[in-house]
Amino acid sequence: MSSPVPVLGRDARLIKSSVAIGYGKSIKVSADAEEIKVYSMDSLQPAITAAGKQSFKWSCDRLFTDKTYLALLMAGTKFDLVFAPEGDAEGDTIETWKNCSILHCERSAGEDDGVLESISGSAETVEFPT
Amino acid sequence: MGNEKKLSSSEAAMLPENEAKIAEFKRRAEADDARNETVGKLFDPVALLQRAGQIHEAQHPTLGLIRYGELVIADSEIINKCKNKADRNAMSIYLMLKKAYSNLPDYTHESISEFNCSFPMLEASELIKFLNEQPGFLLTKSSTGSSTVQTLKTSV
Repeated sequence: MSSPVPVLGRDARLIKSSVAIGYGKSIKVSADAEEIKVYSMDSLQPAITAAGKQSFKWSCDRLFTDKTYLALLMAGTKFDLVFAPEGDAEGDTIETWKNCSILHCERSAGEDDGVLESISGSAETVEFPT
Repeated sequence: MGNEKKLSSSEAAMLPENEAKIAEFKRRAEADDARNETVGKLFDPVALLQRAGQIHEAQHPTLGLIRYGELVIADSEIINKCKNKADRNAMSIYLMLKKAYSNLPDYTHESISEFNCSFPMLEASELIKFLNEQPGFLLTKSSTGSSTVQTLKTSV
């Protein structure tokens, strides 16, 4: 069982080692945690419920990058996703999904080099605005 | 030495050089949106028919100048006659090339495996990759999401 966080839709910047490597349109993110339940011997109700191991998933409709970075991304290079959940790219509400990797992508016929569609993947951690 | 503070990704995103790059990516995204809107608004079957009859040319980094024709509805009939996926792939590529290189040997759905067996693998893999990305190649999803040759069902 998991407890999904509300989905957000924004555009994101892809950053690798302080360098912008791409731009993702219509990003959606979700965070899940395994549910932990501990039962006592004398009750059917759980004595303790808690959120356990976490996983962070993201997806975007289209990702624009260039040929070099495309090859790196396809080879599993990790990057950070930087976006503003409230739609303000320069405010203090910027969220960073760190060490993201691509787990799935599609590519339509006729697309130029450096464009991926229906991309999704996972992140290791999330850095929320302070 | 070592006093430089490492920028966080959100700080790095604000660097002028990165903002310039992002602006470039955004321009491409907007151009892509505009192109998709145009494609979505204009459907011109006359232009499609004209395009389908043309021989396209594209410069490939390793193969050189490639000439090919687009697959048309009639080609799907021929492709569907092939027995297996490998033959259907080979037939798709053969038909596209045959339109531009009329001196290619003739193959049918029964003999297309010979084309498979005789085409050099190195060039074939590059060619498949290249043709796979062309709009007229039926084995990949088109930008409009139409289905592939492999999933077409014959009517009863």
